Amino acid sequence: MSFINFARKEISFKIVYYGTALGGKTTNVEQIHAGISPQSRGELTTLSTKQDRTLFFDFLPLKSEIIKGFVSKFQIYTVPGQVIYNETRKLVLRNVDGVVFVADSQWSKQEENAASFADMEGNLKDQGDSLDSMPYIIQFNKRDLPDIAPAHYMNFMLNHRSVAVPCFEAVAVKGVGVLESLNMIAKMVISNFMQKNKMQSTELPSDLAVSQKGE
Amino acid sequence: MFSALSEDASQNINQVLRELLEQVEAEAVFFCDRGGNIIASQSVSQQGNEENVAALAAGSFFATLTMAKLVGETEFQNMLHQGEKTSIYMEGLKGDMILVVIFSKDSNPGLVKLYAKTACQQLEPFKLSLVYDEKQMRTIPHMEVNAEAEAFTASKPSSKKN
Repeated sequence: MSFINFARKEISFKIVYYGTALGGKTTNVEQIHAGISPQSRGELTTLSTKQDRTLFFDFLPLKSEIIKGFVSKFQIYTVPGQVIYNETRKLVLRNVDGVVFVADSQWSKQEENAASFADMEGNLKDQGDSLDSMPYIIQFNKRDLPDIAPAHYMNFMLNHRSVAVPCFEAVAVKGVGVLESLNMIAKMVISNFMQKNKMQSTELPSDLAVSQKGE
Repeated sequence: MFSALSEDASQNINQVLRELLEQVEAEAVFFCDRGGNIIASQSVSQQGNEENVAALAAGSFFATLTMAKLVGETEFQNMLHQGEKTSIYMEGLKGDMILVVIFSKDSNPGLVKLYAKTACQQLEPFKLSLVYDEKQMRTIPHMEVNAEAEAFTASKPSSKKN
């Protein structure tokens, strides 16, 4: 749920990176932290096990001047991908404004991608949200690995709802597709916020909802 | 639905936080929601990581809420993390808000707890002013998006693309 603080002239949005275990969610956030200017970001907090597996969540506060006269704050969270941490994923999803679903492109992970996507839909439904009204994008990560599914196959598997959403091919460890994904979800979240409140809004290009980058 | 905070409510909340800061000689006091949004904060020196603390406070509060339910409680209303030099006390308000007090070893945890509870009672009325419905949102001043710009830009040339 977006939050406006008039005294501070700030608007806060929450964006969650969701997806399978070891899919690259934390890597995305680390690359954002490393890649954007220090003025636009705060400290990166990661709550990981000794094996670098996300235990609770990662958190990175960002700020932008995209809405004139206000500081737009984006709270970036990742969820732990491991199946056993579903309660934590529900916690992190609370009051979410937009989701980046990070899918692992390896053939061996396609079933896990589908299960994680279904898990996300279920958790959103439990808290009264739905992907029908929630801005989200899908990122096909690990495109540099050898045994990967074609983008059109992943698009068919994961992007088959009534309205197709933007998809990005990415190699998060190299920063490829990371900033593009972030900027797209930021734009969609703000657009959704403005439209819901009948404010003047940036119009997304009409072909955006069905376009797929890199194809 | 969105939540918003008016300037009047913000002034009143900040007044309560300032008093608490002085009463217990705390280092910082945050008032945040359980989503980790900071509503207001007061500190004796600039805290660079207050958003991270608020996010973690919100996370730990919700985690303990789940624990509480597992052992038959409705919720655990407060939490104290006591360190050698610095401690953190968190008190949940009924509803969706958390008061966070960061204090040094020179402050008394008992007093912090006592005054924090009083502050929570004073803050209780303000949580209602946080919620706006969509109809009310239309009364909010005009906002305009900078459609030409990206929200975030790289600080260095991006890596070579595929």
